[in-house]
Amino acid sequence: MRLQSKFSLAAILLIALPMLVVAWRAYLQLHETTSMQVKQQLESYLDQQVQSFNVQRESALFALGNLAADKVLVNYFLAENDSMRYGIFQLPLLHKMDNIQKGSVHFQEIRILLPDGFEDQRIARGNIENTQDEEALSPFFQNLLTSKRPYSLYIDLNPDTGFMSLYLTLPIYLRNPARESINEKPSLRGYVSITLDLEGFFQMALPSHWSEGRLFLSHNKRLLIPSADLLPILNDPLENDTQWKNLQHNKQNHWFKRFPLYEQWQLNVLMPEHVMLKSSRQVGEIVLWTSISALLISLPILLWWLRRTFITPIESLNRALAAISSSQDFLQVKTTGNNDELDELNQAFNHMSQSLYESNQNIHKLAYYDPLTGLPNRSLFSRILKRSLDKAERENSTIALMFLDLDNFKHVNDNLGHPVGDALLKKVTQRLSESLRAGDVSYRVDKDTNSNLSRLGGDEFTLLLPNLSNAESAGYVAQRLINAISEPFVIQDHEIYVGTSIGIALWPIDGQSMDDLLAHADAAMYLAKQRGKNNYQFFSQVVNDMNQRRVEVGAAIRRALLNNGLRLYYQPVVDSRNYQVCSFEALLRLNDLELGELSPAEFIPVAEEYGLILELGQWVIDEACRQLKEWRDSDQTCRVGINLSALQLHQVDIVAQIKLAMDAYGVSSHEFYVELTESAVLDGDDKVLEKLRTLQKMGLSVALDDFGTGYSSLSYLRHLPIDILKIDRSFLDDLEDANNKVIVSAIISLSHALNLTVIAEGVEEISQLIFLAKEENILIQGYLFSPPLPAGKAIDFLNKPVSTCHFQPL
Amino acid sequence: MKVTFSIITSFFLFFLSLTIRADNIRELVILNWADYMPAEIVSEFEQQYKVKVREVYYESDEDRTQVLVNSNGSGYDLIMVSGGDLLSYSQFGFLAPIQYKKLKNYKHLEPRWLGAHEGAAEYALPFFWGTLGIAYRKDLLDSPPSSWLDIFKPDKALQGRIAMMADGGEILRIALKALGYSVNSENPKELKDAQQLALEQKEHVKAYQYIQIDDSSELISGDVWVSMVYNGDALAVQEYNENIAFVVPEEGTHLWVDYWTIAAKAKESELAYQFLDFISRPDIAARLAQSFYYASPNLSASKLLPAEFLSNPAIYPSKEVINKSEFSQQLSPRTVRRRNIISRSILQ
Repeated sequence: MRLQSKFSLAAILLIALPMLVVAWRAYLQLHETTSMQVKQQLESYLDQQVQSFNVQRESALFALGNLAADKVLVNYFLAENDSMRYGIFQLPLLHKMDNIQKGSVHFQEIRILLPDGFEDQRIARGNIENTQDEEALSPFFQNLLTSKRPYSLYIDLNPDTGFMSLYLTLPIYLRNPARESINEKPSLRGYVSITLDLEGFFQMALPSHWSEGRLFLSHNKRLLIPSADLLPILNDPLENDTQWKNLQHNKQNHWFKRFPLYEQWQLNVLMPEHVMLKSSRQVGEIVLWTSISALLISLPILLWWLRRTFITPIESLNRALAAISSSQDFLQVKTTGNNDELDELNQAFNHMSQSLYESNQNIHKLAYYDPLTGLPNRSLFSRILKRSLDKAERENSTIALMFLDLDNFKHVNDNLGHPVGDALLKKVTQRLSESLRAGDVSYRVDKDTNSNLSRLGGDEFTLLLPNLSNAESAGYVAQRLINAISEPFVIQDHEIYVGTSIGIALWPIDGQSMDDLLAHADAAMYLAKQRGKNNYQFFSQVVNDMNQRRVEVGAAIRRALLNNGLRLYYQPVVDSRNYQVCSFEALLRLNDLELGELSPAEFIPVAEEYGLILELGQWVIDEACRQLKEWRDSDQTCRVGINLSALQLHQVDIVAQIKLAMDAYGVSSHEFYVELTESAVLDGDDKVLEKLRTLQKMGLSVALDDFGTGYSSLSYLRHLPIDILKIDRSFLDDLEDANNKVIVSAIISLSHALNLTVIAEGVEEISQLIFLAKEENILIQGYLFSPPLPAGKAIDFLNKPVSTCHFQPL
Repeated sequence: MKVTFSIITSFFLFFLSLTIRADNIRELVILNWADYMPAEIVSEFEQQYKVKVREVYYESDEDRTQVLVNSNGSGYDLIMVSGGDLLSYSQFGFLAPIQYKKLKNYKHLEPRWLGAHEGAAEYALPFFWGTLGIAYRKDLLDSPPSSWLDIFKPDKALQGRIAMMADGGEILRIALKALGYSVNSENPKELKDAQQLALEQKEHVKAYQYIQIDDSSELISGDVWVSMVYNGDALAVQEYNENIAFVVPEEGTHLWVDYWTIAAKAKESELAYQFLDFISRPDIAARLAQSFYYASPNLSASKLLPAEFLSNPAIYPSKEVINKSEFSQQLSPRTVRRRNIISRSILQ
């Protein structure tokens, strides 16, 4: 996940979520508190109503008592006849009733009823007309008759007003003192009744902010006003106590509570929850919207700030890092100047970038430039050459590659010391650079290089001449350089004369690839050396020379075969334990009258090319056997090994050839053995190995020559039909190297374990001998004891132990 | 010394006089309308018989009944009773039958007034009779009222300038009359109509209060332009302002008679007879009629009255008016009950 996303997520998780959780929790708490408060308010409000009801009830009862005791009322009831009752007492009674009614605004009616239910007198507030005089059958009067109380309380709708009303009624029992004995029970004369308007302090009483709520009366769970929607609430069997109860009503949440009013009467309140929670909802909404707005404002600011403070600098650092890894240009990031950790990081990055750039520059210099002369080194030269060739190929142009080698430089170094040699190289470089005309190097292939001149190492230089118009112009440049170098150099009071030999190879005619071109320029340079130094040669001249030489060598081989011009030289192989010569390796030599002494390295490849190698091989076998017979005839017994080429092994029935020669000269098998190169054995098929095994069966030993230059697989040795292992001289050249010592010891140990005789070749130093002498049972061959010698001289070694001192120095 | 003696003597005489008054001078207690008995006639009687006359006033028929009920009819010797209450009062026992032969001036009275109301022939002595009409400011009204409806359903000009009596029963009677019914109607519908008419009038009525009949009268100040009054009172106010006129509306009116009665529990019954005989003297009766502008039932007194008094239609209504008018009669208890309720509702 990216930092940006992490920051966003963290901001949301750590800020938005807790804030919302807090807001939600606060809302719930508020919810609860408000609900509680409103309930308490409602409770206290309704308690007040109930109390007010009771006060009204009490005052009505008091008023009734007052009226019942009034003389007018007594006279009214005891009047002898109706005309007296109405003629005299009615108006005073009504007057009295008026006065009582003035006592309370809630006294809606005051009535006088006769025992049979006839409503005899009635005063009503606002002159509300009476709809019914005969009350006998009304629920009110029925209730009155069954009342067991001294007074009756009844609540119902007043049919006159349509309001919920409370009827308080007092029966009047009187004895007529004029007619009735004091012992008689007072008889029921009628009733006085006060009608209290309940609407006045119930229905209308809910303040406007609760007006959605409903207040209604019930009697023993019976609704006074039948209302279908309220019935289920009252009929709920669980609804038994007087606690607040939450219920569904008209698909809305409501709170319901009943308040005991009087005996079986209850005052019920049903309040929609949303009314009760109105204030908390408003506050909650304010809190919610404030929180959301705060978040909407603060979150983007926070994210923007995080982005600006952290992500942007980190991204810019990231880009810079990516850039620095892909390019070597000098890069710096902007510092913010904030003095914070990120700025420190920026500064550190800049510091690092600078160091890296400088290191890169140094590395580049060390890697690609010669520290002595400041010229491109071999690596850079290769690059320059490659680019030049690519470009020339595109442009179809010609390139000349010059290979320069100073003449006599080794001499200067040896005689005057390396410091002078180094100084000379610097001067040579300087002189070469100066001698080059702008036109010669007008095209620079590498912007990093100041010159197309490179130093490959030692006293070897190369020069690239791009866009060459013709081959001759390269010659002119070469000659100019030769002339420049030919002038004497004065270094530390030494006047030094050196020259230079230059080989020139042209692209594309002298070689298509880089390696070919360089090798051919080198070859051309050697030709120049051969031709007396201080000159230049084109590669085309080398080719001409080589072809001519091969023909000449081929002719010399043929002449030698015909004119007995071949000789075998013998190099002794010495036992390290007693310094006795135990065998000789026979080595072929060719001495031509015209070409002089030819090395095997030169004439063997030509012989192979001209098909003369088998003839040479045959000659070697015959000659070696003949020499052995000659030595035996002079009572000298010796052992001689000859080299077999791979061609001989493959093409000739070499076993028969050797057997013929040995039989012809009476050579026994222990006097004779063969040496073959590793590649000759390993490249060979089963037939070659079969031939070698046949030779072994004849009693001949088989030696593996130059071990260590090729495959050198020790494990493979045990599968090969060989008896002798010859360790290549390259192992012994550097015995200072501890690794080489270990390797040589290991080879010797293993060979002995495989029951192989070991011969160390090319021993030239006494130190090598000392090392080898520590090993048991090893044979040594090398210039330390003797170079290859003609047969006459070689035979002298058989009669005495060799001495290293004797042959030193060489 | 002399001064001290005088003071002691004065105190002595003062207390002596008090004792004499309480113990020896007889007192006649009269329950009466206020201002319904001139002071000089009372003092003439006191001097002639060496007694003291005390008057207790009531404000309405209902008030009188209340007072009597509260005192159970005792404490009074003479009671002034409206004709309509005679029967119930006598039945309840407030009144004592009058022995007419004790009154030597009884012969002057016109006999027909004893038959005007039930019980009058046994318990009552007629004092005055009169009409109920409208007193009005003829200078302020465009045209004089001629119908009770002129004040029950008043023009815009009269609205708020009407005074009615604080007597629901009287208002109900003239409302019945205004609607063409009998003042003694027992028909519930007629009563209901009359009640309706009276209730509808309420918003235009300035006050349900009997007007002052002296120079502070609302009619004189102009606060009230028309008022329902007894005829004599209209003439009394006219004395202060000749712009005030009286009319009996064309529908007719309620004819009333006020009677003297003797309380059943009277302490000075003999004195009461003496007082009744005194005021029945033709000269006294003539003076009484003139002081209150009422028609007297005393035939002998009429001969002593001036011609203009006798020809004043406000005092002596024409035959035509009397024919259209009615005395109140004894009604059934049920109707009384109904009327009581209605009359209360009018004043509420």
